[in-house]
Amino acid sequence: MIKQVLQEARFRKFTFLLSALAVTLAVALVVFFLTTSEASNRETIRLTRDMGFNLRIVAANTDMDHFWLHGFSDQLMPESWVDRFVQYPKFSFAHVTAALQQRLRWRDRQVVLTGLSREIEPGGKVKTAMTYHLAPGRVIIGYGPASALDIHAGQSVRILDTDFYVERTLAETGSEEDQWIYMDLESLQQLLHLQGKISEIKALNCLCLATDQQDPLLMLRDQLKQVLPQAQVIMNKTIAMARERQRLTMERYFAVLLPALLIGCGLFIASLSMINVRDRAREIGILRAMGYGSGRIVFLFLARALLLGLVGGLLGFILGALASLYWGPSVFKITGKTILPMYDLLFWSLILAPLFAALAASMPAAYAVNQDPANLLREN
Amino acid sequence: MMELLQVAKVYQKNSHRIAALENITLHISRGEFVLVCGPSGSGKSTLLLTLGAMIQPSAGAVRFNGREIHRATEKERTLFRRQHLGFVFQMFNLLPYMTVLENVLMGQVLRQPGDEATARQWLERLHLQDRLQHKPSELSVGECQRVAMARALIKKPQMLLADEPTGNLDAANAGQILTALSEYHRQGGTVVMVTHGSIGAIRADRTVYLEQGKLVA
Repeated sequence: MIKQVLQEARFRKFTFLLSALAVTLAVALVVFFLTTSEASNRETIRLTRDMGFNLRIVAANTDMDHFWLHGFSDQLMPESWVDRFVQYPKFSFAHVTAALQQRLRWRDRQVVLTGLSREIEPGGKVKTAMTYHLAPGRVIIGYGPASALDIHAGQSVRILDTDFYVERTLAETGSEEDQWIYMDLESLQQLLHLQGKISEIKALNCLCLATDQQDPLLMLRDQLKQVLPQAQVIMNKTIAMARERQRLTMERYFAVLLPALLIGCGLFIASLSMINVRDRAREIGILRAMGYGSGRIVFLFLARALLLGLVGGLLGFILGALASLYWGPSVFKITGKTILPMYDLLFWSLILAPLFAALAASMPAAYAVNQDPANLLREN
Repeated sequence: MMELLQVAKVYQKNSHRIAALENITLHISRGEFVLVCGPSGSGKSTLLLTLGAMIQPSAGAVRFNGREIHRATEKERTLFRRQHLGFVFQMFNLLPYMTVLENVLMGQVLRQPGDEATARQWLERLHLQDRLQHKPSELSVGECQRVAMARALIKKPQMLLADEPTGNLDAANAGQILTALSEYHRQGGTVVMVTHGSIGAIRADRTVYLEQGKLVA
């Protein structure tokens, strides 16, 4: 019977290939979407990451007017609080860094000296750094002072009687950060004689183990009180919500696109299967006359559908993966290069595409066996 | 062996009532060769398909060796055709994507060792030994009908139902088909053959005539 299915597919190769093409396109689009949606998620993470840390911990006695006006806390806290924060088992986070910031009048301009510690990452994971990692003696100059004072990378600048090498200058960001001068935390602590002091702990994706009914920020504040009672936490909800919205948008898009795609391709396969049944009316009639049962006739049509699903699933995966690799980078500019074929989708393509094709062909197959064989033979 | 008792077949198309068979009573004995003659539209094919359990009669009974075929389920009728009947049609109905040999083997629903050898023997008897691997599209109409004949005979059916098997053939090819039918008959097979005219080359045990769905002789 399998041989018969293969022979028939070869004989009517045009309709077979047309049906396989429908499955191929459906699978290719699903594979393309799923493969690139991973890149989309990564892209969103990167874009929101570039928006800054979403959790900021400052001393409890921080003047919040000053904080919001200048972008940093005027109060200091011990650097050891960073360890207490990251070691608290009820928090999970992606990036944590400590910062010391102080305003300074430098070469007749107002600048903010910003010292940044190395990032602490969970479980020793190596992640792309969110902040600048500078060696001692090196600085990065924000756009404001760099452009006003005509400072360029490679020059030497003197800050509070210490010479620093300018590693680079920054492009305009349109925020208060344009006035910042970055260096490593330890250098700034020495420069300001504030060893062991920081003004802020910044974290990204910091979550406490809240249930669905609980406000995560309230939970976070409550739990932070137990670890750092003299600190307060500020969460930038905009960043977290942007990421969530983007994720939901992609899910909604997929929820609309996928059924429409599957219904369209299913109807196309069903139509071609019906044409196949019509083309084979005589064959069905003679098979019935010879004593072939309904099961074997249904098998002929369903096995054919399974075969074209298998062919379409394989070709669709290859096409979808290649399309993702080819077009993905032009859609996702930042993370496009990280798009890789998702080989587990090959497994699912080879399982689900034949089942999908068989489902689409089931109605025509049922029609085939329910036809009156005498009529089929008489049509001759 | 096979009997039709007061069989009728009525088709209802919209408000039209078409009586394809009316009050047909016919007894066919084992080993008999029955020729069914009649003009086009007289119900010959309907009668043949009723004998072949392909059509359920509207009234009357169809019995095969005492079994009531007209009351059988679809599955039982399929089994009945598989076990006891062979069909030959005017249009051959060969599977276009299979070779001659494969087409003949299709006649044996449940394959057994030795079927291929039997198929080759039948094809040799019908002078098709050089055409085993050919597709139907590569054969003449006469050759196609001989393949259809071999397909019907491979399972040694108790009864062969032939619907105008020589209708599309020239005299030489028709002669070969009729010879094959006669040979099968001589070996004890039962044949019911439908034709729209008398065939001189064949010696049937009995000829029945149908006109407008009724037996007239």
